[in-house]
Amino acid sequence: MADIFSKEKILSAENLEPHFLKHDNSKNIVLLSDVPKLCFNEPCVLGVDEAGRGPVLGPMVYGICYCPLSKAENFKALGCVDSKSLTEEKRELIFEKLCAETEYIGWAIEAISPNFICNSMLKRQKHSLNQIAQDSTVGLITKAKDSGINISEVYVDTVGMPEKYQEKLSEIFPEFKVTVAKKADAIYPVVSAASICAKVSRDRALKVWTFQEGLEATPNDFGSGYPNDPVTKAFLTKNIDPIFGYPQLVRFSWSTAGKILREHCVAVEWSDEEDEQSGASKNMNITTFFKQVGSNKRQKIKHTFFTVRNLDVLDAL
Amino acid sequence: MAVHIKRSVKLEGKTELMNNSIHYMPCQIHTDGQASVSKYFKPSIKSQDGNDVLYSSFRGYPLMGKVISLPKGYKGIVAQETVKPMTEGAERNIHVMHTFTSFTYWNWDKPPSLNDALLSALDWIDISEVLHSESGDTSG
Repeated sequence: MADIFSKEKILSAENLEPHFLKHDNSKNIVLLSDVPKLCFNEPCVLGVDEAGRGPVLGPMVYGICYCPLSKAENFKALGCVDSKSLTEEKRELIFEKLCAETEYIGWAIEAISPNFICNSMLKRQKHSLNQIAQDSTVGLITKAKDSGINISEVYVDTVGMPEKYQEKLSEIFPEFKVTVAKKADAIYPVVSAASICAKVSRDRALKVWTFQEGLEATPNDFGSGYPNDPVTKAFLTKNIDPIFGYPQLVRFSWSTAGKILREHCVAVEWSDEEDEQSGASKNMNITTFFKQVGSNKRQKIKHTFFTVRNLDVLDAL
Repeated sequence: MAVHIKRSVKLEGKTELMNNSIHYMPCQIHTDGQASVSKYFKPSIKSQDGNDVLYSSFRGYPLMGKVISLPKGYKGIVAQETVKPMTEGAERNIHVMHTFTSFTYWNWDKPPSLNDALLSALDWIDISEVLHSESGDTSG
């Protein structure tokens, strides 16, 4: 995970682009604003929300936004409402306003790469999307805490059951008053602000997405990434390689992607380790121990040295 | 049945080894033919400072790999049978298209080690050399 404290300050959505461009987009990236001096002393409120959890392509972005409790009312005045009710231009305008309030508002985002997401979900020990989401949430709050922000209250949009998640986060951060709620971004303006930071970052990351596979495509070509978007569907069917499948923009572990993959690509089998190990003994039939082999000669049994190495004498092709 | 292994005419004058293009994959890909390795796979190979493990991804699966050199004096070959035999027992001609002295071994989400059959199979080369060598050390 690469942390970027931007030398060139991020003051608008456009300012995010060079950071995404410079970064290897198969890996995760964290971008942080400067911490306002006020936030070191005064007790602060911090909101957490995500953008791009459902889409089959692009990063999932987690965002946090914070300010002193005494100034929390200002989020409303800056236009922070449910980000889904805002147009892209409106969101970017509000993001710019949030960035401008350097005296008392700070934010951070983590863009979790589609490659990281599917690699995690397709590990030997599967790591679910909820776990990834929780790791990112805890990671961002910890970063805020470690940078010296005097956090007092934390508001989080839920992943799964709000009660359970609140309990979990309260355990990890016993010093904060943690509130987890469904649709928190529509209820708490500080969460709306976090949601706007996340959504603006995801949109910009996709706008400047550089395909390491050399593809030339923009969001106009791949669409929103939601499985029911016809542009996305067409992109997935058109840009498919029979062996490799998709470019790394795509989350292979999504059912939509998997379905098209099975229909258009050659089959690939991953050997299960346990099968491999028990296979040798399982395949042995008990009658083989009693069988007379050849004449009276004892059958030559291969030493385990050779069996574990899959070594065999080859006399035909 | 005789199998003739021949140098392909394509190999004439070719001194370049295929070392960077041979990948041993931890999965079975049910096809035989060309693959856009340079476009899709090579750019996804990453290394981390201070260790020789390589990281990549295939169809979303995390891979960990290592460049493996073949034992000294050995060479790997990429062979192709252009004309498949029509009858059983017919003579066959296998053409050597490329040669290599190292390749990249990939595992699914675990670093390559001597627990991997292929890598430990290379032990046999050293052991067989000792076993088959003429002069024995009689002291043991």
